[in-house]
Amino acid sequence: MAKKILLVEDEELIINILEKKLKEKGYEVSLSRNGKEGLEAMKKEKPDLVLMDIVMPKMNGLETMEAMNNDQELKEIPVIVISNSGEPVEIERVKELGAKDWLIKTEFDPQEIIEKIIKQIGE
Amino acid sequence: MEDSKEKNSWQEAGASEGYLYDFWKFLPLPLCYVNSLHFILDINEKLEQVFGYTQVEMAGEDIEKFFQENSSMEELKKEIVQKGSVKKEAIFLTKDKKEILVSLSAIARRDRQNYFNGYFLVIDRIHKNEEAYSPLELKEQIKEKTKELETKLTELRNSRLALLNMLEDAEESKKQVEEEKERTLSIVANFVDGLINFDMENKMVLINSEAEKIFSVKNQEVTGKSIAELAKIPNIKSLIEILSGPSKHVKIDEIFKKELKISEKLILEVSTIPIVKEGKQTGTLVILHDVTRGKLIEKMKTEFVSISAHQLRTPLSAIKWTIKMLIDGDLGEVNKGQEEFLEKIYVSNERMIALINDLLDVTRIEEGRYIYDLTQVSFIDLVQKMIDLYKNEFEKKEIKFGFKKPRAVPKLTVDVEKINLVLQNLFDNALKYTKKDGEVSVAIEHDKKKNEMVFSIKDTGIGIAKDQQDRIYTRFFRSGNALRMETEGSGLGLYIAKNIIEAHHGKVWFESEEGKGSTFNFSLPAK
Repeated sequence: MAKKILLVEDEELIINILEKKLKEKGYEVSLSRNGKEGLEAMKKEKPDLVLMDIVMPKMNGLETMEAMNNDQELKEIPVIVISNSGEPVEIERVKELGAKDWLIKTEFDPQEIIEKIIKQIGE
Repeated sequence: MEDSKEKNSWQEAGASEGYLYDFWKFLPLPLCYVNSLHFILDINEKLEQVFGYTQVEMAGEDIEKFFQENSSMEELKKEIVQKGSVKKEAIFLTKDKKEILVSLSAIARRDRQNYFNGYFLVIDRIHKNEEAYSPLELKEQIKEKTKELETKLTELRNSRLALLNMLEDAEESKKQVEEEKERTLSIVANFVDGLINFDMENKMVLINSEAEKIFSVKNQEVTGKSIAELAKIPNIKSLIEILSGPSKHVKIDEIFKKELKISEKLILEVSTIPIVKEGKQTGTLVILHDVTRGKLIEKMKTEFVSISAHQLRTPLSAIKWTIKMLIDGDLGEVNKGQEEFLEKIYVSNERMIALINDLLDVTRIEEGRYIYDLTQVSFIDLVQKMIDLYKNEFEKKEIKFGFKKPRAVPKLTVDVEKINLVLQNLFDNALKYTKKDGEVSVAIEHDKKKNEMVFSIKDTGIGIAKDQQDRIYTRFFRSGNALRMETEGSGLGLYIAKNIIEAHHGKVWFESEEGKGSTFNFSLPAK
């Protein structure tokens, strides 16, 4: 059975690229445009991994991770953070919240993101 | 009868003679009796005393002999015979050859037949009498005394003048002191920062109006009260708590700078400084500086940087990723010419991304320049925590790690976050530039002589070439071998570390040999 990945991201172009890449790799992809939608989707779909942005409308990535940590079920889902800022304080916080990995978009290719996902949950 | 009469008159004459003799002796004026031939017959005691001759020396001598030649005693001799009395001035010669100007009177005596038979001569005035009356020594003494008195008088006059001057000066300085006091008080009262003064018993002695406003207290409610009493006043409690520390001992901690949040709209920076007078502490001044605006700007700046970084980076990442997919052929075949252009766009885009990263780094440098939050910490604990964070990383790379620390060391007063940033940068470098199977060792030493802590981190990494060593702490500098090894890295870590250590009044230095390794050190004053 194909592994399910939830992509929580608000930037359309990024969504398009990642969705295309992930589907090519054979993953099942669902989309949420902000953290609030993301949490609902997580509860409903129980994804194998969450790929999440930090700066988003309504509920940002950090707040979403805090909410996940307070939920027995969601706490277990591995999270890879994809962020644009890469401020040390932000990275520090992301680590504290238990993200499996984090990467700064400008410093990675889509291909490298796929590699990080494979490292976490396999092909 | 005749006999007894005669006897009586003899007795009477005897009594008269005795009387005369006594009188003669008693007379306070120098006096002599001279006969008709101008020979002295007798002198009284006063004359002996004043002029130094004895009766024997003068009696039988011509009167003229005792006067200076030009005293014209010839005239006196004639006049006394003719007129019966003379008054004149003459110069008397004393036994010790002194010339004394005197006024003298002479009065003639006649017998029953009215023949001139002699005269009395009286010195009724001695013109330079102090000289005549005083023996030489006495005179000298008097002279000295006079001199002394004159000196004393001058001194007295001078000291009176000095006293007057001093009084004037005192008045002047009193005025100045008062002016100074008034000026100081008006500065204190109108100072934009809140000021509170505690004495050595930790009693509040002064509070200015700004401080009153900040804590909504009145001067009368708080001055004269001890810290313990003040801790019970709700409005000012928060300040007392940070002044006396968490242990609530009723003493003001030494110099420090702390932040106190009164409300969302009022954040204070509280600093204390000892007031020292002639080398002795007389109290403590607490300064309450409103940093609300600064804090707000600081927050806005961080937000601005983070937002603009995000806003700029988002489209750049989207471009980067799309071009990458085009180049990789994920979106359909591209021909050779198209691919070349896509590669060029990709490189330009990467350059743009690098520029934005630099921009972000520059704002991070600024963080290093300012020390905000000084606290007293154990330096060993601080380093130990950093080691715990990096331990796994070293193990992963199979780098041997050692830590040498002294047993007991004094605490340091530092901005913990900033010192952590320094340690992080040094650990990062050691980790990054040391190859597999290398060694990294950290040491802390306490230099008791200078009373400072010295930290060093030694690696067996790539080292720094001699010709590049002097640029190691400059901004954006990365050594050639570091660049070849890893393209990432801002060239800011050591620059920021230097800024932070120097802001703590410490020093940074290093030793390095290319291909063998480097040791980076810094010192911090212990306090």
